Amino acid sequence: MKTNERISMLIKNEKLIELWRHPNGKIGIIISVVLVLMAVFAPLISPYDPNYPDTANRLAPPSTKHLFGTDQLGRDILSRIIWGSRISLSIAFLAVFVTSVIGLVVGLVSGYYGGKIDILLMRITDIFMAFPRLVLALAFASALGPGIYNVIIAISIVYWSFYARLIRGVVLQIRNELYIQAAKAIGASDLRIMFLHILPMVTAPLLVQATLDIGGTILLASGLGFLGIGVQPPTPEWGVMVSEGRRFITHEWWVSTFPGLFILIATLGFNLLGDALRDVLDVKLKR
Amino acid sequence: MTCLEDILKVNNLTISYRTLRGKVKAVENVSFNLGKGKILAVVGETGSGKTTIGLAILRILPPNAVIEKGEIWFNGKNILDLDEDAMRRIRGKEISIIFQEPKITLNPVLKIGEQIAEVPIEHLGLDKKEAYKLARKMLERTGVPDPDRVMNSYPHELSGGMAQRVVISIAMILRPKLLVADEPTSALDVSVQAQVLDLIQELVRETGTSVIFITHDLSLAAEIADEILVMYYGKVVEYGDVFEIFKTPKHPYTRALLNAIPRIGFRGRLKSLEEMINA
Amino acid sequence: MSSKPLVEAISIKKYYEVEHPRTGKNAFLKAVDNVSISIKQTETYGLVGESGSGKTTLGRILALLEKPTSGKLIYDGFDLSSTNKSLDYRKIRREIQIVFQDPYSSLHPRKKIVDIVGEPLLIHEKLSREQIENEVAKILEIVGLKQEHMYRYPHEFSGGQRQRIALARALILKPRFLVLDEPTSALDVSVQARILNLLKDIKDRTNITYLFISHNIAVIDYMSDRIGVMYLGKIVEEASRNDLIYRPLHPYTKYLLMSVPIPDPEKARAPNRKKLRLKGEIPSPIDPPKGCRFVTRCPFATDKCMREEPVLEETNGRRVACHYWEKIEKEFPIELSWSEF
Repeated sequence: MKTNERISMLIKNEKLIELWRHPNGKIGIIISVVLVLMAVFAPLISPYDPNYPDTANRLAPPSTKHLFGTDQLGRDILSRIIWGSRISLSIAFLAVFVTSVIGLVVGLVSGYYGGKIDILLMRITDIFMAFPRLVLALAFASALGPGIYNVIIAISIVYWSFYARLIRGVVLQIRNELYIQAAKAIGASDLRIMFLHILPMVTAPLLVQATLDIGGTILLASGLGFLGIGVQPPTPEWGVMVSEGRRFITHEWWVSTFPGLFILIATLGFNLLGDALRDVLDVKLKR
Repeated sequence: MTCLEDILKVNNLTISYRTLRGKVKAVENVSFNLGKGKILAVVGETGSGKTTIGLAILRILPPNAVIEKGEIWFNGKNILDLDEDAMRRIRGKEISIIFQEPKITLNPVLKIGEQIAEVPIEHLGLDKKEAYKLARKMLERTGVPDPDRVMNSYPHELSGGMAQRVVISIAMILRPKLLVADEPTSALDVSVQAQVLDLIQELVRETGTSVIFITHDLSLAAEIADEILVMYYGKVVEYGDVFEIFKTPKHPYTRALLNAIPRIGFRGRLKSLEEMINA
Repeated sequence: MSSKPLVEAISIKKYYEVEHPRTGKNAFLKAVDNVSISIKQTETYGLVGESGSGKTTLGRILALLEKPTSGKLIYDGFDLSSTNKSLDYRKIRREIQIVFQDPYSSLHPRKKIVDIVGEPLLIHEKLSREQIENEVAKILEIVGLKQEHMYRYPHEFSGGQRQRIALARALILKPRFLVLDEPTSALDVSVQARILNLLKDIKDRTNITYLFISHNIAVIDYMSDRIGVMYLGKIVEEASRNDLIYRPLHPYTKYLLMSVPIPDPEKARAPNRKKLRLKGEIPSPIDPPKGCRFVTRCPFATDKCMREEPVLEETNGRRVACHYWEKIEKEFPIELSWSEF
């Protein structure tokens, strides 16, 4: 199927239309699509090189030349924000992807087999869930050292247990449904049942949670960046940018404010999208 | 079949439901009369509209229901014209209803005694002691073993049959003129169903209450009904005396229903609707 | 009808450990308690009982969906409880199938009909997609559906149609033994007749054996060759269909038959109709009464019945579990109202 065909099929998809009609869904879709496009086409739309220090124009206020002003090294803040979206979004998408996959497998196995495996796996998730997320992420990120991939690993370690629990919950509900028993009766193997019968019913709540968590992860990664853990300057990560601009907040407010604003918008956008997804998909789940 | 002793007269009742797909007709031009002390079985399969009729008489239709036209005459008044206060005075006292699932009707956090006693307290203004005495007597009358213990129990502690007897007590304690019974035995075991049917018949004979017995099971109609109303997709297809309808059914749907019921000892072949049409 | 049993259940028990609702202590829910039945090839064995009788649990055990707590299951001469490696479990799994009661939840909501009905083939055979679709089309036709229906989803069908889809799925591997767990209880009467006739037609054309489970005695009578009556986890009576309905021996069977509503007002209200009623309800299968299970409701119960459990004894090609069945038969003969309709 050509790309055009796929896109038009996607647009005609009734769930997508419902999502668009949902008040939060519209905003969520717009924000997330804009951000993704921003990240993908960063080299094309960024007005300046994000690392180029225009020393003559340090701490310049927003103007037609620099829409969001410049920071203490003269770097264009808008460009840094655009390139920063790459970082925030890749951390978020990769971390959420990894955690969903791990959580999915653990949740499926735990929920389906029950018994000792379930008890063991759930005790392990208990341990991870006992700590507040930020604290745990801080601990792992510091231990692993700086760098974007370490941040992703740290966040994944923190989040996977929530997914495992979520999936396990759904599996527990579904496992006793008649159509699963029917699958057993026709001779389907456990693996087949888990991945071909149960998994399709789990994708909806998984998608909702993942979308919500993308927003949360952006916030978490920014938090870590702000605290100086994980991504380091001069990388234009939004949290790092907010942190660097703290010194100037009274007079050169734009250095911290704009990256902060984008953290807000990004988190909000994905949260709204996740919320709307939950409404749209839930109705179908209830059927 | 109209006579001076009719306690209920339904004329041209038409009710629709507003759904996402537009208006759906639930019942269309339904008319019938119910004599004093008589049992009318309203028989139909899923989607026949039989439950809607029962709900309409008690004016407890869901909010998306629209009464397009028709009248329901009871006690010389058109029920559809009464306001909610007047209806509240009627429900439980003059007209009662019992449903298929007793556990739905009963409040899970109140004891049985309280739930039965509530009826005479509300409608007759009895004090608590008197009401409880009356409740216990009614419970005993419905054949519940150890009525004192049951008065003190919660609904979830009762079996299906006992819960249904409690529901009947609540419905009949004030000897209403009309009882609407919507599939009251469908969720019960065969042996318990027989007990409950007997109970309903006895009570009705004692109190002179008229009954609208809604069911999908024609055999129940054969057991207790005086008249039958056969419904098919909202319309009345047959209405008459129970003996006549069973002996000489006029409408093909009635005939199809009769031919499809499995009977013990029958050694022929049941006829489904398709087989009858193709024959 | 060959006399070699296809399915033999020997002393099957299925106990669940639960918390006793009143005392809170650990107790056993005895869903199936020492049941032995054998089902002959090509017969329809009807299993009738009320709630708590254990008939559904027994059906699931015979359909290999649950393992019994103890007891043996012998299928086609093979002892299924043995761990003999030569036992071709996959082959046996093909030959034993089940149709469930609820047509609204026995089909996967996200799969197309062709995938649901064709899955058994996918699992057990190596067929191409085209071959599978052919087989599915054939079986759908047998159960009275159209080929186009293959590409739709379950929610687009009515209850009766869904049951036919479930039946198609069960039949596509050409099983020898089919467990039908209340297959028509959720359907309207006219739809039920059609499915029952379909089942009968299939039976006439193949050599299939049915275990038909229902609480509706009239349906059981219509479908079965032999009938087993269950009460609280035990078989209390078993006889050929005519023997059971015209000459029931166990008091429970007698009273149960008297409780069935008769679809004929003249016969139903005939003045000489026997309308004796059982008192009370089925006790809980958690810690059931000692001695005869039926003792709490039996109008003929004696002290012996409370102490000693009656054995399911054989007499004249049928079985009955009651200490006094002969005495009751002599002193309280009950004539039942069905003869010719």
